[in-house]
Amino acid sequence: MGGGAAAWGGFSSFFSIWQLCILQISPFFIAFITGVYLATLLQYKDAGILRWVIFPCIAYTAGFTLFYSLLIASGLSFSRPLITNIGSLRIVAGLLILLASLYIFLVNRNPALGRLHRPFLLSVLSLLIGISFALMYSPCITPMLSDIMGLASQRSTAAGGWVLAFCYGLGTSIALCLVSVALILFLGRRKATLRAAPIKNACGLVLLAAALMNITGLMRHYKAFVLGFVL
Amino acid sequence: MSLTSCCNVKLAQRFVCPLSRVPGQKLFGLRGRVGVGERAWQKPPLMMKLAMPVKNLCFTFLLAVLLSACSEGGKPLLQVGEKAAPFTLELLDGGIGSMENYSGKGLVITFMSSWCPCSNESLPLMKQAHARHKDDPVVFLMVGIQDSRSKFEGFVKKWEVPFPTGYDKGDRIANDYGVSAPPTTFFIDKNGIVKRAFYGNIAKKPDEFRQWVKEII
Repeated sequence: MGGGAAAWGGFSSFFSIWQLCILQISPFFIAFITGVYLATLLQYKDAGILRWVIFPCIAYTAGFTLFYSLLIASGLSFSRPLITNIGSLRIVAGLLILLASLYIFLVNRNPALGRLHRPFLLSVLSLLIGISFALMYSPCITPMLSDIMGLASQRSTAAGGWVLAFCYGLGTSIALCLVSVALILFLGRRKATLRAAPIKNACGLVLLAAALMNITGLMRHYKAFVLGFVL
Repeated sequence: MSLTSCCNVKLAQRFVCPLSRVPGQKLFGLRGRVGVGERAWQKPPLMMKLAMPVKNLCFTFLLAVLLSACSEGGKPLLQVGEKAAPFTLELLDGGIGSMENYSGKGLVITFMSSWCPCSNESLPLMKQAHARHKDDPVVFLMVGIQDSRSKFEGFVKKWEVPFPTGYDKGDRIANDYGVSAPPTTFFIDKNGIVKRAFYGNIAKKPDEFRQWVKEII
């Protein structure tokens, strides 16, 4: 299996039955990127998609892919402590998601916070959100991921498995970002601006729910009841 | 503007608070300039006060993750060919499942979740194998992870699982075994050595599964 095949496997899994598992993160990322973009529209009427959406998406992809692949490659010495401490790291991730949700709520209400709202800061926040989502995500093992995990879990083949896991995560992340960008384009600037504030607040609430579920350990119930209900 | 007032402003600019607006200074993306007649020192607004702790928190998060990754993990994760980690699991039927209880027998331990499609697909094959090896010295054990206890109990009832099952509260056993996603299955021989590890839907590899069970008997 090559890196291209792994990336395609990750990308295509997003648009298949495996989307059920990606529901662990996909609604929350869409809420994050949409909420942030609507907050930007309320701030700057001519906010460009490239600076305000694409760059944060790239930063998110970098953070998510790196940590997702490290968590899969349990054969790597570097990954082991991450897996061992995953419970504590998920709580910290929840705190960061909480901050992101508060940011979405408050960015247009407080002028000082509004002045902080810049593409660079947003990209840094997206990077941290990417890492947080990788920590809270427990992937369903698709047939391709099954092979990758088989390699990545053993010391002798862990490095190669990690590269494949990285490509797989990259594919999944790109698919998620493309869907988010498409959704933002679909909403359209004018239409979105009309109802930007309530939609933005709804996005903040969705993110707040994700944060609280991570901090309190209720994420397992989200998986059990919401994903179980869909299944 | 008089020379005196101009000098006063310049003097005031030397004693500005780091969070106030300073000519040419960029702070968290802010760029400001103190104008003539403006107060050089301003009380920082609440959100500016919060900016520093938030920045520190983000930095601490990255540092914690990196340090966590660089530190030596307390227990090494399970590897094929190595001794399996000891565990104690409270079974749904009230008993206790542990490595000691199953010593001298092969052990097929599988980590599953009720919400996972692969776990649901894997179970029929697992039940078949259990029925086939009912009289052999091999134990099948299902551990519920990343799930709610009630949903996992419902899952066990729905599939009428005939072998021991237990709910791993807090995913402690899963962490010891390096399991990050369900379903994951380990094949442990009678000496407690991990012979095989399989990640994913075992129903996709029925022949290998039969072979791996035979290997540990």
